[in-house]
Amino acid sequence: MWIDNYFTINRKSGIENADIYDVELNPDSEIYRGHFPGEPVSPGVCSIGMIVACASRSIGSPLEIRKISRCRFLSVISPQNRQDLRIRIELTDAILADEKQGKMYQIEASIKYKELVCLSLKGELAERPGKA
Amino acid sequence: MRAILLREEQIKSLICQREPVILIDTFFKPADPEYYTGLKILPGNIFCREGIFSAEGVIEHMAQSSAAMLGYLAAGRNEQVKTSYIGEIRDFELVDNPRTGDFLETIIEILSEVMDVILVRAESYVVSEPVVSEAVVSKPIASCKMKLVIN
Repeated sequence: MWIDNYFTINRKSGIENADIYDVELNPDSEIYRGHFPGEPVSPGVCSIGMIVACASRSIGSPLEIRKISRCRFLSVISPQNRQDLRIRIELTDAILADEKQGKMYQIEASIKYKELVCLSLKGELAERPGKA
Repeated sequence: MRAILLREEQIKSLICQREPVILIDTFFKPADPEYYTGLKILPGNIFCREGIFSAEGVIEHMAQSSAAMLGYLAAGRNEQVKTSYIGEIRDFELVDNPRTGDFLETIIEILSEVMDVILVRAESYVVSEPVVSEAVVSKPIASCKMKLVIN
């Protein structure tokens, strides 16, 4: 899967209720072969995927997006600016959903490149579904 | 049943994405303001893990469906197909993840168009084979509103 070599977490820290991940993009990711040829730009969904991966690490089990009430893409992220990316994640206590869906978490997250906010997201995550 | 206009390789005439990121394989005959696309989820898809197609894959499929619509409209005006980016996602909901072997079908509806910013509504359905008529009678597995910015 694309996320496996898309980025690395260089440092994890915390401020108040939030987890902070300093991350670095891998410019050799297969994603850039197709997005776009000769003009690598990080797809918005891959930035969302990084947030989900960091949130999964915060919780300690794989999570999946269920809802996004709002996600704004404010500046383009590209592998040319692969360092100095900081992901901020705030997860609230598990919401008890029905048994089929498992545990759910509310998330507020952002991605910054240096001081520039590139993305802000508010939504809900659930434990990743298993094989049918 | 809706007629298929473009398939697989031909889709590249509508969008700027290339393998392995392409997440649509069918473009149906539109009924403006609605446009219809499809994707057969194959095991090698890079947005799949253990046979489950991720939410990120569904969102990207919706974005590329919108991009294909914009490409189709540009081609109709004899203009070049331009890249577009997601500016904003609102009210995205995924009821269930598609799985490998599923055919994902998506309806894109243009809600507004101001300069180079297009607001669409996207609804995705899992169907047994590419037929939009089946999709409209079942419940969507995912939906959202999306703002696209043309480069």
